[in-house]
Amino acid sequence: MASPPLTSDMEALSLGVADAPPPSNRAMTVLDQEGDLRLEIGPEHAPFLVDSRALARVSPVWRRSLFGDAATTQRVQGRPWIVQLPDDDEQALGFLLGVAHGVLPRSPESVRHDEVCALSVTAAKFDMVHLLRPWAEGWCASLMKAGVTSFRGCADRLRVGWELGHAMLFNSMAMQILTDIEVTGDGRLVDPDGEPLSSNPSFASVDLLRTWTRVSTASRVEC
Amino acid sequence: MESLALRRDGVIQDMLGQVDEAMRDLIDEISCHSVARTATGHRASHTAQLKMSSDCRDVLLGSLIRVLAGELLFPVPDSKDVFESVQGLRERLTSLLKTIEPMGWSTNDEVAGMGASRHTHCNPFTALAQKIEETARHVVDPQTVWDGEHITRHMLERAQRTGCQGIQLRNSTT
Repeated sequence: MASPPLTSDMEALSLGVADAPPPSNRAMTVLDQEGDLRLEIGPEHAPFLVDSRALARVSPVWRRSLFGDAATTQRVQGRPWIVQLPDDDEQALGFLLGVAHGVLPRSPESVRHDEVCALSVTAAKFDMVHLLRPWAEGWCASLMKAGVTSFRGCADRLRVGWELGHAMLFNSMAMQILTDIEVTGDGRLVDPDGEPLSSNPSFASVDLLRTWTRVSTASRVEC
Repeated sequence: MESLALRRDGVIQDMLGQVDEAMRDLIDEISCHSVARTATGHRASHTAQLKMSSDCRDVLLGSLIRVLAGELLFPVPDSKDVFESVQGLRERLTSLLKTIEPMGWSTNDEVAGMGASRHTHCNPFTALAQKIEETARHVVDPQTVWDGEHITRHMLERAQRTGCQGIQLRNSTT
């Protein structure tokens, strides 16, 4: 699963509305036989038939986006209600939609470590993190135990800790990251490959860059 | 380029080093005094002040080890084994140094007929605590800032919704 783009969970989503049936040849995932909304997720427009009210019930983001005053999509009588989400992760959002409809397309225990990050980020984007409550602690504990071999892995897990509110994972990963990042002459924080941390979505969302930059500045002044 | 973590490790190492140095100073003084006493046959001609200082050193060393051990800081750990923030360690060290009471001094006072105030100059830990405060005063370490209101509020809010561990942002990697 790839990390979806960032969106404040306090804002309505910008949903793409399709006027015509999409060019998808994927089989429809039916989460509600009586569903009134067709979501097309990811670059392949994977179709999901869902109940719009079920989504509105579990998430204020969905509620505002589908039914609020600032709704970015409106149902037109006599036409299928189709919303496209091309930038989102099909598997992650599909999992969350399933939970919202009481359907688990796969066992949560089978979710891989790299998938937990996409799930956490997607859940935060759509304000659905509470749906992960039965598994969040277990996933984070498992990530804590697993060895991290890359800076990217640490960054992903930091993001998971942040999105799911797991302080131990968040703290642990931040400490590991701190041993690897460096400060350039002009005060920018960079990873071991010299890439600016500001270009990494994991750090852009977690409000640590500003903090760490301030810290590095203070340390430099003191030194 | 410099590493933020190296800066943090350096400050923690400095603080722990000060404690370690204070302990070693006491041990050295006790050792030297014992040698001196053996060499002189512990003659009664020793001044009361010298004897009192020796007693104080014994008490101070024992008290220091006792409070450090109680905080799992004895033997004094390497900075790499300390996961708490600079400010957290500063607070813990200075607090425990201030808790070292002149245990046993009152008994000696009765024997020596001296007031407890006479011992204030014997306690090196007040100065040590100040030194540690100075070391950490200007350091803003990342973990301390994580305890900032915004981040703490976010983590607690998420933890309430997901059931994850949302408390104890500091010292939680131990």
